[in-house]
Amino acid sequence: MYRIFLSVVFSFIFTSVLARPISYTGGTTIVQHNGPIKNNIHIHYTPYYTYSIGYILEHYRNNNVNLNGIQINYLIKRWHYMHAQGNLYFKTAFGDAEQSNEHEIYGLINLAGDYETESIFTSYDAKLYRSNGNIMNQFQQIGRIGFAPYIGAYGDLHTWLMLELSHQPNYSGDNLILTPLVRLFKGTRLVELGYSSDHQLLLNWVLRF
Amino acid sequence: MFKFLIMMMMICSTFASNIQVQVQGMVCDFCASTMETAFKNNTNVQSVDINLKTKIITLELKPGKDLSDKEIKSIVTNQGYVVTKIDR
Repeated sequence: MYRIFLSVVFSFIFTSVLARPISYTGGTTIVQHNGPIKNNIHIHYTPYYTYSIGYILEHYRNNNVNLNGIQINYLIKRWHYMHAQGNLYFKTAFGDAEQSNEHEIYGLINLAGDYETESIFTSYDAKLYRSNGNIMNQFQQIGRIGFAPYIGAYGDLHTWLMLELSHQPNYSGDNLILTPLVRLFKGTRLVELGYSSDHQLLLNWVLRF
Repeated sequence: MFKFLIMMMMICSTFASNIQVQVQGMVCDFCASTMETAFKNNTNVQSVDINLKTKIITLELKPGKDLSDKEIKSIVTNQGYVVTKIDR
């Protein structure tokens, strides 16, 4: 209960996580993610709709690894349809990986894609981390599917019911984690709340301005 | 009386002008807020109304101002979306 309370407080202090890694031209986004295996906060600025640059801080709870890095997100391709949109992104980060006061340089290569209509959402995200030692060498992949039980107008509260499956082969806990979650979305604010198969709370926030 | 009505119509037409722009791929509030912000940043635009279901953005221009099709397409394209129709 105490951990849940801390996660909630942490989320509200830093405000937000997740969703599209690039905003509108000139926009700033704060994304905060509290998932089954880690907490992170990502703040990025979008100079043009094809790329964003920002700072990311990640904390892995099981082995107390902290990552401080600069992240660049690039839109490789966007597919437009009248009632759907698809996106393919390349993301990369580099910076400092810290564990028990030991420091290494780490790098991230990340490929992500999404496809959504007004009522169906799918996404896939694959991350490969490498550091110049043993602190951060792992692969992670996350897939999501979701649907909206109703279609709202612009400015309404939008609700999505989603299922997230994450796979992390190098993780000391469960390699496969399933998380049902609810996404609430209104204007430029988004919040997600879920509970994972390994009994962890998921709480994500996104704020754009 | 007829002259007065014609004058009133001409005055009204200089005060407000609406343009309807249909944009492809606008599926969520993030997309809509992106377009709203982009158009509101244009000094010729008075107000922006977005219908997510029809994908139509209604622009109300400031009195005496205009926005060409080329400018509208440029604003939309610079945010990563595509214009499918412009009605005046």
